[in-house]
Amino acid sequence: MKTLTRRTFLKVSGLGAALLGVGRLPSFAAEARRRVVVIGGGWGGATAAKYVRLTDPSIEVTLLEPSKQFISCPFSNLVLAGVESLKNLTMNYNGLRKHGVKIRHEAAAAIEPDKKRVRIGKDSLEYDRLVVSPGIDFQWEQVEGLAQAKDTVLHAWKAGPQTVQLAKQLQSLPDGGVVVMTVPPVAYRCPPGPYERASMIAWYLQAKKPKSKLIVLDANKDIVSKTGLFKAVFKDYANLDYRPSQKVEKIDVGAKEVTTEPGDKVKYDVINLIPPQRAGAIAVDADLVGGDKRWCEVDHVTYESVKQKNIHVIGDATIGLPVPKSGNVANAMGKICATAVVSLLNGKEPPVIAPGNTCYSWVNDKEAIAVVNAYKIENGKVVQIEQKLTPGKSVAVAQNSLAWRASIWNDVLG
Amino acid sequence: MRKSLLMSLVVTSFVLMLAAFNAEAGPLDSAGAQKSLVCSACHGFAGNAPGNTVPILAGINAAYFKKAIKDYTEGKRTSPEMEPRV
Repeated sequence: MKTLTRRTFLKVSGLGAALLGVGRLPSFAAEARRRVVVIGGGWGGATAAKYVRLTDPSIEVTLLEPSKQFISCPFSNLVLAGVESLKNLTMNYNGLRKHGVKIRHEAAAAIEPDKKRVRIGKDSLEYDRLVVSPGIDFQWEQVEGLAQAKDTVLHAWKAGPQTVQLAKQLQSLPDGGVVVMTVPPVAYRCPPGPYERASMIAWYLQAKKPKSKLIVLDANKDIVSKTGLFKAVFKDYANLDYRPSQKVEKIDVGAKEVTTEPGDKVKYDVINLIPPQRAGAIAVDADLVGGDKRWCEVDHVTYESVKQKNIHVIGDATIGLPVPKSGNVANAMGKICATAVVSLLNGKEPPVIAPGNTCYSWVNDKEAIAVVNAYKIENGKVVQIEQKLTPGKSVAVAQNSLAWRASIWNDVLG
Repeated sequence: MRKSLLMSLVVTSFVLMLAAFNAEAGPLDSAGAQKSLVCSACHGFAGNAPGNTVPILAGINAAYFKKAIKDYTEGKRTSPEMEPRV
């Protein structure tokens, strides 16, 4: 058998190319170095990284996420009541690697928009388009005494070790003890989350510590989300004392006491203080936030920052769209942003796609409620078409939520 | 010679096919895929819902799918999750 000479190869490869009609080969070579960097491997960032690769596998995608584990915030309130384990909410990033996403388990130190690069320690990573999905950070300074005590006063608002610690504190509470939880002023991550948490803690206390009670100090004037449904649920819990317009101003860890804006002092045995929030620090440092210094305004079609070209922001860090800061919305933004980024890198008009939202809240060990939001894009802006609530709590809705989580976790990471 | 040419043609074509595959748009770069982009949150990646209470859309009969959507629109089939979306 004759060996393949260079001349033969060129002849044959020319024929092969002609057979395949590979007129696009030069463009492949030209486009091969296009790079997308994604900061943050939560619901938005992980989805965006995966869907850029799915939409155009010739684009190089690098995901920066310090954690090797993805822990779902949705369903973490169930862990507090002993109805779910954190292990069942913990996943890894191997699925994204199968799509060709390069993952670096490191934190982005800074964004340099003028040089189109992200600094990681002493190293840096260049991008053609950057997707920032930084989630939220806490405004500790908004509550007097919190910055000094933040390691001992649990928020459990980022699922992980604090979720387990708070569950243990609730388990250790003597029967007759008082649990206080606080709801931050809007906007914050997961609008119905605090009320789901209140329901689950009240259910747990009712079942396990019948002499105990839960006091909910809400900074807002009323229940922020699924209002009617939660009001009906709260009637099930005689041990739940819901107090609106009670913004927490101060915490005294020594005295085990919080002070609210009207001046009320409330004693606790277990405290769950959910602090006021803003976009993740990297977005603030890179000046992606607006005048409020808290949240990032974006284009409603491409999610490109209104402040920085070639940088897109998705998920809880965004503001201005009539959507909740939910995992479902972050997942939708991740997919829509991915298609926009691919279109822009290929010199095409980005498709106009509206997000959607389905949000379940468990209210006891077996039942849940839900809200569904449908949106459209009108004159370049996301507008809500309809919002529908489930008629009430039911086992069927809780079962649907389990199907939803299996689907969406797979959509984000699978 | 003829055999080796044929073999090199096959190999080269395969290599180029891989290159062409990579250079091509991905499976989601179509109008239909973009329209159904948000559906995968509940119905699973590529329509393969792993849960037992959400319909699997992958491979669904088109006529059946159309009827289901029409039934939601007309209130013949109820679902809080689907009604606002149709």
